[in-house]
Amino acid sequence: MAKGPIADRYARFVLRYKWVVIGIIFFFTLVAGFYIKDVNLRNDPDSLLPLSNRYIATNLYAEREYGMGNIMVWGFRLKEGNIFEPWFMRMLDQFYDEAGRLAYANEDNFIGLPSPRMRHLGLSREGGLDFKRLIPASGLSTDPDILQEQIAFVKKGIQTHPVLEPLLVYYEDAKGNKCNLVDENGILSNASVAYAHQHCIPRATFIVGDFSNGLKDDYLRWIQSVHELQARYEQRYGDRVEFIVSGEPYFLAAMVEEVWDKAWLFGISLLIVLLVLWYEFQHWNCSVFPLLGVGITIVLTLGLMGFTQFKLTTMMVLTPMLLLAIGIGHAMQVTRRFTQELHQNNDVEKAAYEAIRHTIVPASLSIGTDLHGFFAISFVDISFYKAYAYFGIFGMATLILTTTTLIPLLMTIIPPKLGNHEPAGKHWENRLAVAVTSLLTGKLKWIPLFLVLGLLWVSAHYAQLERGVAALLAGEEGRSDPEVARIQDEFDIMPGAEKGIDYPRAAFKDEYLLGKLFGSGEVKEIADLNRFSRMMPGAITANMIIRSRKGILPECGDDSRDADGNRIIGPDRCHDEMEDPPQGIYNDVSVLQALSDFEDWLRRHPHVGYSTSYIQFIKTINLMLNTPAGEAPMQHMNLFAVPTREHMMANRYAYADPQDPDYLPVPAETVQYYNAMLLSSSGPGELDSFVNTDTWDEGVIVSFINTMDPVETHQTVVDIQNYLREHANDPGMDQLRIGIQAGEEIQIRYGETTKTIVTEDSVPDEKAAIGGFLGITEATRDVAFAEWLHAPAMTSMTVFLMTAIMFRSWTVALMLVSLCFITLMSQYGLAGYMSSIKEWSANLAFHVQVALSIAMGLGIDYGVYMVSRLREEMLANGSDWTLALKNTVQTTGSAIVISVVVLLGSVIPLMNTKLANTWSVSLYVAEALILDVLIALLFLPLLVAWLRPAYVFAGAGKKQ
Amino acid sequence: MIRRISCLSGTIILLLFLSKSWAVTPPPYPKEPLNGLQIAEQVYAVSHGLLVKNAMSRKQGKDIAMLVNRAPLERRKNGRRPVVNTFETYGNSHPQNPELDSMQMAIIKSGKAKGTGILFVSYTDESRPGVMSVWLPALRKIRRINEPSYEDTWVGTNLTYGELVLRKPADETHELLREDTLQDCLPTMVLTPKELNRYTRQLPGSQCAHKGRPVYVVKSTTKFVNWWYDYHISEIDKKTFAIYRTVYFKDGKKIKTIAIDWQSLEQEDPRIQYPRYIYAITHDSGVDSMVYVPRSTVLLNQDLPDDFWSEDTLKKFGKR
Repeated sequence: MAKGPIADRYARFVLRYKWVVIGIIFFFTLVAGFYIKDVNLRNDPDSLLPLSNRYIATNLYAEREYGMGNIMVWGFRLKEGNIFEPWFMRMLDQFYDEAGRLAYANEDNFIGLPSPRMRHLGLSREGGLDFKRLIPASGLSTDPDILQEQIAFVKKGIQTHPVLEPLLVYYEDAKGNKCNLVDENGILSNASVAYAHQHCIPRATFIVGDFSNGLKDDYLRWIQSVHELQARYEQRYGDRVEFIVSGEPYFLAAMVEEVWDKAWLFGISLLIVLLVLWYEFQHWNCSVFPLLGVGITIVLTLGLMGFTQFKLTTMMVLTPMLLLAIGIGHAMQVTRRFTQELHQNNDVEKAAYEAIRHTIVPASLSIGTDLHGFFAISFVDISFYKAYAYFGIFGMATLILTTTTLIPLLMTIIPPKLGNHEPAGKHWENRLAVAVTSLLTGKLKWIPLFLVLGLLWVSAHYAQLERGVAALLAGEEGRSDPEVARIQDEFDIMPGAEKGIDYPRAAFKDEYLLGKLFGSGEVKEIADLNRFSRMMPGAITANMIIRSRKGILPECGDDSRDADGNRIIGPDRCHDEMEDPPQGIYNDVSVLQALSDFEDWLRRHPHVGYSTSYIQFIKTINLMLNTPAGEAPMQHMNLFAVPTREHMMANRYAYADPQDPDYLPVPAETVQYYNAMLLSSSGPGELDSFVNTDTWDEGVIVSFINTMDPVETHQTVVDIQNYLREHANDPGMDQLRIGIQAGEEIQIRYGETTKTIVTEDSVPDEKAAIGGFLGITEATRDVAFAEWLHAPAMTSMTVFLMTAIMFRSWTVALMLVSLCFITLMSQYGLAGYMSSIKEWSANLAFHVQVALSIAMGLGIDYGVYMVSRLREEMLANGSDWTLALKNTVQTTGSAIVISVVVLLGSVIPLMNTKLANTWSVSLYVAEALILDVLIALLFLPLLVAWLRPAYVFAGAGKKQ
Repeated sequence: MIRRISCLSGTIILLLFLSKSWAVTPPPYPKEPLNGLQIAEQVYAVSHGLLVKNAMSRKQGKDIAMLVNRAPLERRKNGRRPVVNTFETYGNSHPQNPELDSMQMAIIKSGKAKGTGILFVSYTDESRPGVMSVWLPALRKIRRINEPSYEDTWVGTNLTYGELVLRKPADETHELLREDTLQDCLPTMVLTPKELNRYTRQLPGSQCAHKGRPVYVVKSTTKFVNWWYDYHISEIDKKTFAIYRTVYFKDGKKIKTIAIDWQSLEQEDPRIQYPRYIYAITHDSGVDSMVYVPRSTVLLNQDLPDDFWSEDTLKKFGKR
């Protein structure tokens, strides 16, 4: 091979072995094509965030220890009448049976009025305590009289169930307002319960279902069966009943389903791109080959995804569309060069050689800068960031082969027929060049500057930069304001751009354009969730893991007794379950009372709809066993309490022994006895969803959060953490630790395997880590706060270094990175605006932040191309700035304008599904790239003219 | 998770093994050939104590009846101990009061529920539900509770009241499939070393002594709709009518197996036996339970008046 610049040698090499190169590329494409079917689109939020995060670890620990990881909820709201109608109860019973037979259903965990475990907690006709099943196992009777009796029993049964009624029945007053069963203090009082029962209508009920993780491998078939089930009932009862469905597995499956349902939009994108290419080149092969090249890159990337079995989310839909958008840009550059050279020489081999050798270096550099964004996010410990990074880097890297190399090679085999328009350019390109050059060299050149300044001001306004800076400058004196303290602690210099996440809205938009074209545009998944939020106590959970500080003694082994069975190791060193006093915090009445107080406080919190825990069992059994014989327990809700000494003394009538008036039960023995009774009266393992019945030393409190607003969810977490901190030394609470703590080594079941993880100090000041979706939401917020400045800063630093090396000019590097900051600021401003209108699909949540780095890496291309071309034109035109600028805008400028059109065409599928995550990311990327193009065209030349970097001007001088 | 709240609705009852005779008089020893229903009636008489006046299991020295429950396999982590309860039972199948069908009493003798006593009285009038009285020693109270349902689980086990107590031959249709011999040993609870303690160590191993015994193989199909099983197939000793093994099926799938090691009480009627152990395993979840009754604890036909089975006795036996 002849000596020469590496680009020349590369061009000669690939042309000499073009059939080998083409053959290898197509061979690997074919192989990759076979793996596309294996793409693992699991859409599993458990795999998004680092497991070592205390919130995430707490949530996974709670799921592992206490179950219910995939909860579904069906709601049945009557349009008229109340739920205790025979036809409705029969429908509910049938629906319950059918839902329990859905694939992956854990029917034992289902709860609803027809559940076998829904029992009447009251009095039988004979006056004894009654625990009969609400709906008989054999179903409702066909005899009308018996049926009426059965329905009356169901009504009585649920209305005397203090724990499940608030969860399963929705009451509404005559004006359609919700009637709460708990009073304003969060307490189930005689008065609040009576009001709901007597003045409100039981309008809706719910079925809560649990499904196994297997459905994550079979989302499409599973959600199809869910739709079919609902459709059957809607067809039959839709005129009388409003059917509502929601839940985590339903949401996640619906997202995957939406990707497939809207796959045809990708065809629209390709068509738009094809038309643009046709317009630009007027040759069918100049239109098809770029698409073919980029298509090969997409196939290779998808094949790699399938081959590696990386667990992906629906957000990965963005990757092929980015590859299409960016790849077409590169493809156009090389195709344009090829046609120009062919026009000049009419020699396809030479045209291909020139096209490759001229474009391979800028393409490599440009792709190199593209990779910066992906490279920077590859270090963030979020799985989908990594997926973006790995597959983005791979896909972008292949573009060198599939576009810059392959397209000219294919052109040599099937060359285009040339017309007359190639060298002169198109009319609009000439007009664009003239207009931009006039603007930037005339008196109006300040306009772009003022526009940029205006953009920065508007962005800062919406991002509330001024408030952030003021809070940071307020120092210690300002910390009396909690918001100022928060801004300082979190370095939230732009508090207007909310970084928290509303997960449902991050998943789905509330309405979408395409839907509006064919209907109301309402997104059912969000609409149903909003309805649930109004009717149920809450749509997301918060789990508090309760564990003891000191732990328990080990069980006594064989060595604890001698040959005669006499104990030789005392109860101070080991525990004999049959002989020794029970151990574990759940046998301690002061702990139970402290937890009860905590739950009462939780229920009073404006954003906590309801809570439940093992404490409710204790309170219920206390109520049932101490209500005076022959009287209804629901008339004695004051006994729905932990039996402390104070409580017993205050309610002596229920606890005193008639034969020994001075006697009151011993509180500790009483709760220990209740524990034993509850254990004996439940199936093996049943209580373990709330308390560890092996040790009695840990349990969980589950609360239902009635908001998903990211500001309010964060406030709820802070309030809970503050309560726990303030009461840490209260009697009972002083024995507890809440949530998983930093540095703990815990076993987590992750997919099919069990992992040991060591938690990190991810929650500052040793605050309690909370599980459930609230915990995940807070963890996501923490990650967002860690990355919203960090990831773009990392990207900009690598961009700065790369461009400095590329151009050997600090000035050019500084100019280009400054352009990045303008774009970045505009994205923060956009986030601030979205936050101000509470558009939680597009605030600065962690999934949106990925767009910041990616857009920065991609957007720098335009500046790179412009600066390179300016230098080239300055050299070629004897430092005539105006001419150089005009030629640059006419060639490179018009090319990047076309690439923006291609980009907009590419994001059509992403912008027009119901999915919010792809919409928001593509929105931020598109906004940034459009702005990058405008700045590269209208502002960068001004900076170059004013700062006169040697890279552009000195070389020209020498040449001159 | 939410559904666990409702498990309070499980009965808070601890009852002795195999009680309530539903006013059925003890059938005479049958002559062959027998059809499925006749075999089922014999099994009912044997397992519901109709052949004796009263029976009890009382602590003798260190020997005491015990019940062992293990959690589902997925919840059975390293070192998780089974739940053990020791108990005494007193059953009266032939009360002198003609209104009463049977009276059963059980006292828990260990653990946090120690002293809890349950008295269950059933009436000859089948329309009249039984009455259950529970002595709550920590509260010094007697509470009355309604009769459990067929599908209610028995003392935290995977056995139901229907299987152990309430189900009558008429609740199912019975078909004699074939006569055969018992092919293998009866299974038992196999504990890991970490699950062993001084109580569970006493649990008996697999029983092979019945292997080769002639048995009836009977298929019993439930008459209840939407029931938790469709049918069960039982292997029943042709001579003693001891039901060694019952396998339950739902939608053609084996869901639960119950094995009972019946042992002779050296009575003239070979049908008079006691269940040395009952082992039940639910195949899907791996939940298993075992009741063990040492021979030394079993007493028959004691001279006790009806008023022994009373709330006063519960209080007396249940004092802490």
